[in-house]
Parts: sequence; structure tokens; C-alpha cells
Amino acid sequence: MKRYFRIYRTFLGLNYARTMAYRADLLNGILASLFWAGFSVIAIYALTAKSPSVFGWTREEIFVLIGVFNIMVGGTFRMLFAKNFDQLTHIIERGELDGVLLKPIDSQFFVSFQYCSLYNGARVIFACIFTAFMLHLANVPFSILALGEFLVLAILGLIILYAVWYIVLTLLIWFPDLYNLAESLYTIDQITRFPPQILNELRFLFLFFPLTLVVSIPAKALLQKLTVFDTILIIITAVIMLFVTRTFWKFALRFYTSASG
Amino acid sequence: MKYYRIFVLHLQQVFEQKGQTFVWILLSFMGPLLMILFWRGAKAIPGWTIEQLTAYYFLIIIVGAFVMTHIEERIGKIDIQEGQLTMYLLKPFSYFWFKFYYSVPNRILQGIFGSTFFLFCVSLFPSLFSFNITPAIFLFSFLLVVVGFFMAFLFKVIIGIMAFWMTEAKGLFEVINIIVTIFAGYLMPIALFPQWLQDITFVTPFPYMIYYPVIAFTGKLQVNEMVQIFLMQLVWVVILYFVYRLVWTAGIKKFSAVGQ
Repeated sequence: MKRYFRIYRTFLGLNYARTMAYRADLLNGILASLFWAGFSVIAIYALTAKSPSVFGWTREEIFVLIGVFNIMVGGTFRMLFAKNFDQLTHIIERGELDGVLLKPIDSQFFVSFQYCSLYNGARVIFACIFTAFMLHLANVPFSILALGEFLVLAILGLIILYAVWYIVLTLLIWFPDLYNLAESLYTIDQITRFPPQILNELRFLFLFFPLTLVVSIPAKALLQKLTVFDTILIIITAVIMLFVTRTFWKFALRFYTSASG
Repeated sequence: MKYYRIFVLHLQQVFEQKGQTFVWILLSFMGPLLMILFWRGAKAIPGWTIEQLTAYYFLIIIVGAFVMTHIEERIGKIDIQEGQLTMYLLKPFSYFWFKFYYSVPNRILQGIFGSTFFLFCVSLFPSLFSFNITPAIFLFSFLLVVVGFFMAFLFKVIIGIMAFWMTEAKGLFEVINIIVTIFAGYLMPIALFPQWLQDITFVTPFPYMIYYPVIAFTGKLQVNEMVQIFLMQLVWVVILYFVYRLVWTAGIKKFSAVGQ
């Protein structure tokens, strides 16, 4: 376990060096990610302009939700995983996974964590400021406990989101030319921006159900509206999803036939 | 004549990829699906029922598929940056019209796929949608879509030509995509924007490309309003054409001077 922490530190160092070597890219990346963050906020602003409440969430609460979305998904998730998942489609398609499998390191860990898009850190920072401001507007008193709960639940939410992505991307081992799989996941990600009740109407979309927990439950923690049921639900879901993605990946590797397959 | 050949050739190419195209169209319905689900939870939307909104979002995708070309990526990346433009300039036909007839097959195919999927949904779940349409309105709306395509094409060509001056045109294209998403009505009906945003939006050409044709199809427009919009579209076509000529002449000069 400690070994993997060390390895990840090395990855971070390498990514930092890479980022510093291309500073114009860094600036570009920061501006672009901030732009996307701004767009997501404007979208929510326009969408809630004429309706005071949606699925029982008030306008300020929805703003907090989009803030948390930007911290967790737009910021942290993209920072940790976006480039890795992008590369995964290439790695599998070109048979480079062989090289990865030969390394004395867990393949899922390597493939998921080797890159880090540091510029998204800017989005996380701004989103934190934005969310804090929105919490203030929603008249939510400051609470260290709520913040602590938020951090723990955010990590669980990220685990769930990671698992959903990775499970879908594992399908690439059987269908290596489905490059728009990653594209479709960006669209499906959008479910996390909205209150969980959005899927009430379509219960048959139960596959998307874990996604509704990712952002909304940590957001509820910040808004201090968390229930015990929510907490248990997200813990169980995270554990199950983690188990599924691990098992599925190991299972899929048996079918990996490299570039000549 | 020669442009017809270009159209048919590319039509064949596009049909070869119909599988991928089909998947793209299905994917593009995901966003609006989420929007529809979102609105179902909203309290009190002024002037719109949920059935009208559902119809709106489906129509936005279909009209968008027919109208919104992505030719700026070909022009900017492949032709200008990679220098393929030289090949076109040497040929005995207009680059503009070549790109035009090149764009049409993709639009038609995606539009047809979208419409088919839409008709499929309407026949399965008629109660989810609400229309108010007569054949005359339908035809006129279709006319608005066609002129909308001309507008969109001109606009995207202008954007693509920007690559003459920018090395990283990709960033510009992304920004434009977002602007179009908001101002063409993909996000939500412009009538539901806050007033100040509506005022800004109607100064731009984008609502005339997609939003208004969609509104026309839902039957929310009177005949005289449709005529006004049609005229406004023509005005925009003229303006955009002039901008295009300006930008093109300036760009071509620069292109030949650098000798890519």
C-alpha cells in the first residue's frame, strides 16, 4: 500500500515536470476549464431563472449543487482521470496494454493514475470559492463537521464515478474501436449535475442510479441536509462499485488479445 | 453539373458510415433527455407545458442536425492548417460551393435519422408531446430550416477561415460551440431566459438559425411573425455573406503571401 503511494508521488512529480515544460498549454488549459465552469453556472442560472424550485431543491441549493459538481467532477475527477481514460482507448486499441501488463505494478492502477491534468486544479479552487459563496447565500451556517462529512462523502462519490467510467471503458477490451465510448461518458456525466430525483420518472434507467449519488449526497452534506440513509447508501454503493470494477477488469484482461487480435 | 457530383460522392461516403452517424445522433438526444427530466421537476414554467417542452427539445436536436454544420473544423484544421487548401484553390471550381455541397449530405442523413427516431417516439408515447401544426405551417417552417442552414453554413465558414490568423483555432471552435449551444436554444427555450439574456440573444444570428425554426414547428408562431423571421434570416444571410467575402479575401492574401 505504501509502495503505491510512493509510486503515485512519482507520477505527480512527472506530471508536474511535464506541465511546467509546456506552460502555454497550462495557461490554455486553466482558461478552458474555467470557461467550462462558468458555462455550467450560467446554464444553471438560466435554467432556474423562471422556476423557484426544482424537485424540492431551491435555486440557491441548486447553485451549491453545481458548485460541488465543479469541485468534484469538473475539477477533481477530470484532473485525476480525464487524460488517463483518454489514453486508455489508445492503449487498448494499439495493443500497448501488453507493455502495461508486463510492468510489476497493478495494471488498473497504472492505467488510471499515470497522468494528472494539473490545470484543472484552478477549476477546483474557483469552484470552492463559488460554493462557499453560494452556501453563504443559502444561509447555511459554517460547520467543521459538515465540511468533514463533505470530504469523506466526496471521496466516496469520486470512487463511484470512477467505477462507472472504468466499467464502461473496460468494454473497450472487447470492442477496441468504439472510441466514442469516452465521449458518451462525458454526456452521461451530466446526470451528476442534477438533483437525484431526476431519475424518478425513469426507474428503468437504474444503471444510472449510482451516478445520481455522486454529487448530490456530498452537496447535501454541505447544505447540512444529510440523512443517515444517504450516508449508508453512498457507502454501500461505493463499496459495491469498487468491487465490480476490480472484478470486471481482471475478468476482461483474460480476453485481451493485444493488437493482433 | 460538377457540384452535383461532389454532393453525390460525399453522400455515398456518408452512407458508408451510417452506423457511426446513427450512434452520434442517439447520443445527441441524451442531453435534451436530461433537460426534459429536469423540467419535469420544476415548479411553474411560465407559458410552456411539459409536453411542449418535450417536443421542443426533440425538435431542437432534429433542426440542429439539419442546420448546424461542423465544416469549420475541416476548413480550419485540414484545409488551412494542414495546407490542403492549395489543392482546392487550383481546381476550377469555387471553394465555397465545394464545401457547401460537401456539407449537405451529412446534414440530410443526420436530420433524417433524428426525424425517424423522433417519429418513432411520438408514435409510441403520443401523450408526452404537444403540437399545434398544419401542413402550411410545416412547409413554411421547413423553409426557415433551409435558410437557417445557409446562415449556419456561412457563419461556420467565417469561423473556419479564422484559422488563417490563429494557430490554435481549436480553442476558438470550442468557444463558438458553447456560444451556439446557449444562443441557438439548445439549452432551453430562449423565451425562458432572463430578460437581459434574451435581449442579448436576439441581437445575434443564432436564434434565427435554429431556435425560430423550432418554435415555428411547434406552432407557436403566427403567420406574420414567421414572415418577419424569414425576412430577418435573409438580412442575416446578406450580412454574413459580406463578412465572409471580406474575411476570405483578406485571408487568401495572407495565405498566398506565406506560401503554405
